[in-house]
Amino acid sequence: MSWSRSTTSAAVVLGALGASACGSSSTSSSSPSTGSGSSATSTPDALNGGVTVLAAASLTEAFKDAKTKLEAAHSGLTLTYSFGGSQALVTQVQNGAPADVIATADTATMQKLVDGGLVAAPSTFVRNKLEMVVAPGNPKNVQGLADFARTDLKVILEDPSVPAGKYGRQALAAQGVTAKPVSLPLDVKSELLAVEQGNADVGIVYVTDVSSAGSAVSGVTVPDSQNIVAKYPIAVVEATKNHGAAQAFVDAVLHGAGQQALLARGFLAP
Amino acid sequence: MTGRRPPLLLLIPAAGALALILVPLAGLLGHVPWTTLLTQITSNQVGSALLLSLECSLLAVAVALVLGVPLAWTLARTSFPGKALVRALVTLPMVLPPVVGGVALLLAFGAHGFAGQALAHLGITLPFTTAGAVVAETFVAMPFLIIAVEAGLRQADERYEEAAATLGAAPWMRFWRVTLPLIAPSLAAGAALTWARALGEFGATITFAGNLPGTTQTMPLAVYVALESDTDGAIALSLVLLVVSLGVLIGLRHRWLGATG
Amino acid sequence: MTLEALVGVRIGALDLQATVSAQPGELVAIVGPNGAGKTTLLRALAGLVRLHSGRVAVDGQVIEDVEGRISTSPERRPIALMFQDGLLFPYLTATQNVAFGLRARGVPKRSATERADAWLARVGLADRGSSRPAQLSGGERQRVALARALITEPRLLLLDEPFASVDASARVDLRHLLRDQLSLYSGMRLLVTHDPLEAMALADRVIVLEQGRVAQSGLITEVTARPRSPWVATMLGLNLFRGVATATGLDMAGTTIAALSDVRGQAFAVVHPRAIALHRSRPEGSPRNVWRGEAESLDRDRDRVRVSIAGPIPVVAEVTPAAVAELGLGVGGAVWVSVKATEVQVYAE
Repeated sequence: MSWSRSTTSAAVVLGALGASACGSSSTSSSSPSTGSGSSATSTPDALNGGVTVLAAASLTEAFKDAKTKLEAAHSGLTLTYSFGGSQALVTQVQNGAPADVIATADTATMQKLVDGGLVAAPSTFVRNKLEMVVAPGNPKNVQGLADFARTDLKVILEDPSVPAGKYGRQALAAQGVTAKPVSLPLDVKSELLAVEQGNADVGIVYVTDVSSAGSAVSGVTVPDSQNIVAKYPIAVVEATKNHGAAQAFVDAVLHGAGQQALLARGFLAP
Repeated sequence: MTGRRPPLLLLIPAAGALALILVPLAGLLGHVPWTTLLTQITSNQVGSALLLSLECSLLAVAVALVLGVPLAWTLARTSFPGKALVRALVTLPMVLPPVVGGVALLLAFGAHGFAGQALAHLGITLPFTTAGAVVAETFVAMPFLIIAVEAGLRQADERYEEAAATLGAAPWMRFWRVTLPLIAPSLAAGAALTWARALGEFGATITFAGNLPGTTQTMPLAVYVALESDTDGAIALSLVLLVVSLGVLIGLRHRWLGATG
Repeated sequence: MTLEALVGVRIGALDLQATVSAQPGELVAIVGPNGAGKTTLLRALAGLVRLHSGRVAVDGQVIEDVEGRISTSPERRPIALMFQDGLLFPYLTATQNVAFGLRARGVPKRSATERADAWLARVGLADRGSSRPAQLSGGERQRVALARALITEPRLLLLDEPFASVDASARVDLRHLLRDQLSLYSGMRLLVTHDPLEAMALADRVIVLEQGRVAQSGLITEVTARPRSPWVATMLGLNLFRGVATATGLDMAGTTIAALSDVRGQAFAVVHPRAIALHRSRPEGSPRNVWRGEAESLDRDRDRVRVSIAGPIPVVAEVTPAAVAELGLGVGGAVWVSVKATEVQVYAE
């Protein structure tokens, strides 16, 4: 439990310190019009009451945008998020955490909950691509995945236990590139901070991570032919006491205001 | 000293305190994969993580002793403007979330940090190195030593040092032959606490020193990584960490604290 | 070998200004009430307290001089201090404690240990060398402390209430041992005590310190015969008066006690309590000093009773228990007091 909490706090602190472009206020000012438009689809307002959502850390900014929009459009709704590593979230649900919805960053972790009968059929709500992250302006002139073999570069890759780390290795392996990372951070924010602070020169993260980091870092595109696309699944937790609202939130993330907020943050439509 | 029976009013909360510590421990022990335990803990990765943990934590204690004891002495024995502030600052790493400590270290000692740039001129790099792990552990654990030693120094009778002076002992000899022996129990207790804190350090280490097997992946980091994929492995690792630290602490207690009772 | 010191120290409420001197082989006792500055005086001489004014010289060598900006650190002074409670290092054995000063001076461990054991034998603790202070009695600890102080052969030994932490039964033995050992030691010694009897038993000369000032100093016999401070007089059990000596006696702001003396001007007068006679009614006959008083307190002291009497001249009288019974004297009871003029010793201030 302390582990999962420390990752959450890590994500919050690192997010606050590391990323300069966390401004959800600019998007929230335009939200009421789009928000009310999307809620009109579910005529009797099912999005009501308290909904607790466990979500992968990489969804932090997009989901916060969605909260602003949804709560403005549905006055009876109170959204509570708990962000963390996908595996940590799964462990929480397995141990009876009082959550209504869970959204993870890969299908493998979600499958454990499906196997355990703890969630109903998950749906992919967004996809995410890999991108190389470098210091602003790309001073070391990183061109492609092959540069990860360069000995003059300090390479950083997330731990293989984390989805981005797993996919990053797969992409490098497909190109026959062997990298010697200086560290194996357990979350995206640590990797971004390392690059931002010059302690690493190049890393692999999701495109959404690069865009949420703003001007602190630059991205180098991984061609689609070499890229690996991650699928983000979302599901209602079977033990929920507010099934109608939970399902309505999932719907909003799949098609409504939630989906719009995600796309605005650079996620790819499912 | 005497086998006194404590009043019930104390016994009940005392039992509660013990239960709070032992029940989670029992939870851990209840899930130990005994059949595969041996293969789990004899793997190369566990060995290197354990060795690294011991190396880093002991070095952290050494650094804390060399730097922390003089600071404790200064706080206990001298007066200077802003001393209350310094004392508060010393305890800051104890209240600061370790991850924040790690970020702070990274911002200062990283490649773009002012201290990091100064060290780079000397050819020293701290982030993502074993030395960085030692620095992170020292940062988080040293306050325990400083507080224990300062308390010991405050309790110690300064007149012993005066007696030594009248017997011809110069300041350094007084410190070495009188002050340190007088506070030996506080010193040992402080060092043991510091070591335990350093051994269990996670947040500052992973943030500042990173997570690279064999270089900066200490036991707590290995446990965390294992937890992401393999709960059995994580429990096995935790058990190793637990047994080693318990063994050392009990050993120290007998050796240094005179094992009362 | 001499000690010449003018010590000026201000700490809190204490304002110490005292001149102290000692000759080789001499034991000077410093007596005075609590808070008079006795311990501070020793600490200043040892260098543990900085002087605000004055200078200290041992054998003509200046070790501290405020005006001359000379200050020697404690470890470089030829002075040893034996603390009130011994202050043996609790983590060292008796031998290691005694050897400490030699080790501090760079004497090799082996020879330091041998000399320390020899010193322990001198103070009667030959078999206690491996004991730690906690295993020794109060008296034994002070013996070790004495050996520890003397082993470095200081030119000046300072003893701060060496008997204060020792119970009465061990005190006599320790006093004998101290006297024997000190007689073998050729340096100068300053002994601080609040007990004038202790001073009389050990010292050649006495300095009376009161409220940071030297109230009186001199040979023991001089000070006991002619006390110059109420505290000394009280400690010696004497009645001391201060006033102006005239042809008829000592005039104290209008009240005169008759005396036979050639002394004139500011003077003290002392009367032994046994020289004061008490009566049921006004006595007839020769005594020149007669007045009526009231018994304030009666204290039995061995075979005598000390009676404090309030009146025009407050005095303490010492009479036999039989006399008290005969007078029917109790607290608050009226009594006539008489003193022969020849019993009043007057001496110039």
